Amino acid sequence: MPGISDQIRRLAVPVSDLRRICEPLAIDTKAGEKKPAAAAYLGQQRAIDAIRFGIQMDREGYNVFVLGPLGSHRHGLVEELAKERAREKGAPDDWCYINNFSDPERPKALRLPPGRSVEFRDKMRALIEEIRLAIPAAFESDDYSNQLKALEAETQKEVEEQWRSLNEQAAREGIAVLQTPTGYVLAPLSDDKVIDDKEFDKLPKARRKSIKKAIKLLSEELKARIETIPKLRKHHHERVRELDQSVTAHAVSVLLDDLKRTYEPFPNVISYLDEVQQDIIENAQDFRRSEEPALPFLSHDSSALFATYEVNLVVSNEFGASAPIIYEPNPSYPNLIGKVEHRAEMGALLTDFRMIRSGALLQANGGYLVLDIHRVLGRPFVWEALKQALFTKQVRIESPAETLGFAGTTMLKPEPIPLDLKIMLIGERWLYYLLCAYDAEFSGLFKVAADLDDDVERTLGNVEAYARLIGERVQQRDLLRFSREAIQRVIEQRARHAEDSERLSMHMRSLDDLLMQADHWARRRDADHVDVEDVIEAIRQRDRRLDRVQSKVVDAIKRGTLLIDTSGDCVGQVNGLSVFDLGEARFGHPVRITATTRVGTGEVVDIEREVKLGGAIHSKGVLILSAALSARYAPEMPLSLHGSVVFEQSYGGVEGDSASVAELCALLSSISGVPIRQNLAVTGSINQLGRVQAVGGINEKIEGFYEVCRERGLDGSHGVIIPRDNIKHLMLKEAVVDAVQNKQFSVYAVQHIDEAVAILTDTAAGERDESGQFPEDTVNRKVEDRLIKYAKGRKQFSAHRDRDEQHK
Amino acid sequence: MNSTNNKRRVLLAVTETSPLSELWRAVTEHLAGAHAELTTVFVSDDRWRRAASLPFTREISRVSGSSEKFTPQRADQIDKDAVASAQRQIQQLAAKAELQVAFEFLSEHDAAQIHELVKVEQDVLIAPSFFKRRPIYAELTRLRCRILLVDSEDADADRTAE
Repeated sequence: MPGISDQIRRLAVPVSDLRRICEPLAIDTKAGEKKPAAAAYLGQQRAIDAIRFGIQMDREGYNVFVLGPLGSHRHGLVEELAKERAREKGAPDDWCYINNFSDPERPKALRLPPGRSVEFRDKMRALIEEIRLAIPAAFESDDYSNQLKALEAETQKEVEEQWRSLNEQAAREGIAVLQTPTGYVLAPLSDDKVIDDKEFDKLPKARRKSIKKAIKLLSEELKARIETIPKLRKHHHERVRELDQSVTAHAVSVLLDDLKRTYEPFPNVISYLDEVQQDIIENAQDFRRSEEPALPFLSHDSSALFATYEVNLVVSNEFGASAPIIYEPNPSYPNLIGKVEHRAEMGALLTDFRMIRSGALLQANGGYLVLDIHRVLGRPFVWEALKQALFTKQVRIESPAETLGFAGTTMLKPEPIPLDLKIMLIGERWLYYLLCAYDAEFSGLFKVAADLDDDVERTLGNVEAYARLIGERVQQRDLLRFSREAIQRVIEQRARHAEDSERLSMHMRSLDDLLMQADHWARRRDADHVDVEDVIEAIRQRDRRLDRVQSKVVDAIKRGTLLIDTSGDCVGQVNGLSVFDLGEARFGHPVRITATTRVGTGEVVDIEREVKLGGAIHSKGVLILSAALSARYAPEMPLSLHGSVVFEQSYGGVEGDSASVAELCALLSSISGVPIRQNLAVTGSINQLGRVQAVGGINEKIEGFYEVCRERGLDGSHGVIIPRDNIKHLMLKEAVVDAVQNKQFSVYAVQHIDEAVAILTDTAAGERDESGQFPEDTVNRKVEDRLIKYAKGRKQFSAHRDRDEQHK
Repeated sequence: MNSTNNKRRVLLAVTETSPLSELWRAVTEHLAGAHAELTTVFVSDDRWRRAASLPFTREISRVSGSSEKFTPQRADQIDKDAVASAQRQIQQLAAKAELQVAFEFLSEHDAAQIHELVKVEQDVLIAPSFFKRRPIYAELTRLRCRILLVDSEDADADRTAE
């Protein structure tokens, strides 16, 4: 039977497993090598298939949500895949807004084949310019002038005839028609002279009577004539207007007919041109208006008079081009839906159909719109507006106030434009799951989830592909060539980033950062390529930039402020390992865990939980170890223990169950009285059966304890105990690996709590023999003996107490 | 009414309905290079006053056709407004031509007073030709100065035809 030292030695992790060196590469890393683009999609086949499916599925609701962490090349991937389909689809139709002549508040949308809208707009502008010349010219012609004069003469003749007959009638009656500034006075005449009251009184009665009667009759006649004048004028104006319209119609139709022939295949354009023609005819006077402003303080823009005939291009595509792929980095409401702008004029805000602006939805109509979900959700009203557009399959450009019914003023209501596009949302997984859980409409609108893998299996083929990916990104970013060794070192670092020696991280942003920083350090030393030392320098410098807090912690331990023993042994005290996550910085450090025990009622108190500093998972871990304790020792007796466990000098929250092995070891030490080695630290979670399970942050934890020990001086006794399941995750820094290689530091991997106990106490944990007993002098025997003693003591205590109570 | 000095005078006789542009052209022609002073004589038409004295005369609005009693006050007002308007126009014309102009007022039923305004035979009286049909014309023919009738029609006639 091997001794305890041999047992412990066997648990040591071989140096080769501490850091998996990159396999030799067979690729050529020289610049200019043609790299297959597929390298960028390494390990993402599931997501790629999903995106392709979503893109090709021309059915309602098959929009795509790309799930993946920031920096995982999500946008590039989506864009490249969309391009494949966009080329097949071709450019969608153009859209314009035009004036609605019967209801200007509701501009009309006009659809034209791709590339035709610009031409149509320009032709309309040219047409209006021509009409502006043609109409005044028509009105300046002799024909028009003569016809107008004839009309005026006719009217004048009618008026004069009316007055002439009245004057004649008055003269016959001996009555004068006198004009005052505002009207007429009828007065009797005698010898061409108006007679006054005295003269009138001298007239014979019959004459006076006839004068009065004549004046009365003439007054009635005069009133009738006065009433006729406006009618005559109106009639005259109507005839002039008819003349103007016929002249205008002739001038306009000659010009418009050409345009109508050009757009004959498009009934909507023809219909619009008919409306334009009618409007021009009805408003011909605008084309004859003086260039002078109506009021001197008004700026005069004659082009504004003809603005109603302009064409407002909101979506213009190029004939023969691909379907649009739009990425909107700032999906605010106006940027997404569109907006109606206003201009300030004389203190008022004015708008018209020319000020309608399209948003990303219309720009991408007929193609693909890529949006970041966190930005969509973070901007007011955008998510609801986006869903509304997808549900109704149309874009209605209106302000959010109007959408919500808060608009108090009259606003334009542009005709909605039919929407047919694919939305590609990009976001992190938690947002996808939240939307699935809390937005009942979400799943119906985004039926395709493309889940990008965070990492890729580290097979030989994938390593080669990853090397090509590195080469591709080096080229794209115009970096110095990376040597084969440098690429290998980068690949190793990508395994470290994945926290798994058997996988490679697909987080592209961090890869790019490493490549660019290595390039920087290579250039600093005037190298013509990036070598492995530059990659190591980039990693070292990055760590250094971020290690302020870690160095403070190590310093505090070194100075004895944070109490961590790295030598000797102690009962009920063990070095656990925890990880700090501070933004980009992540580091591990030891933490002292202590346990105390006494007779009790079978509870293990987690002090962190009691003071609400422990998270739910940590509390769960403590409860599990409590169960493991009661299941393993003296199972036939009640667990009569009161134990307490605490993270010493921990003033923040504690979360996770990765300290449960350490906590159980501390408890067992306290119960058994067997001291624990302080030159070791332990991490791992435990289940109820004593099985040690893998934990996260394993590399940082080992390195954290190594750093403290290194500061105090490595003597070969120091080491860390980790779960065996974590061996595959080991990608330790070279310094740690070297220390293990030089037998200055050890890493042990355990699968069961007994193995951890044996290493920590240098004493066999002990297994039950055939009689069900743990061997003498083993830790487990001591634990069980103590627990039995506690149980008996508790029983005796209970008996005494019962007797005392009966006695009382 | 009295004259201020012995300079030769150009008298411009107008009524409230006289077309001033033709008359003014004649005035400026006579004043050009001549050492003379200009006096405008407003010949007030008493048709209004006479018509207003009748109890049954009414003023019929040109715009609405409604009628109101034509009173002497209204006749006076029309007279005053007409004179003021004519005076304003002549002042503007005189200012433009950098001429001094004096104003005199003459009621047509006191037409004989016009003799007091003429000082010397070299004086000239310019009047619209329709004065021939007015009662004052009899007095004008008796003046000892030269009379120039400018061919023009009473604006009343034009306005009637509107």
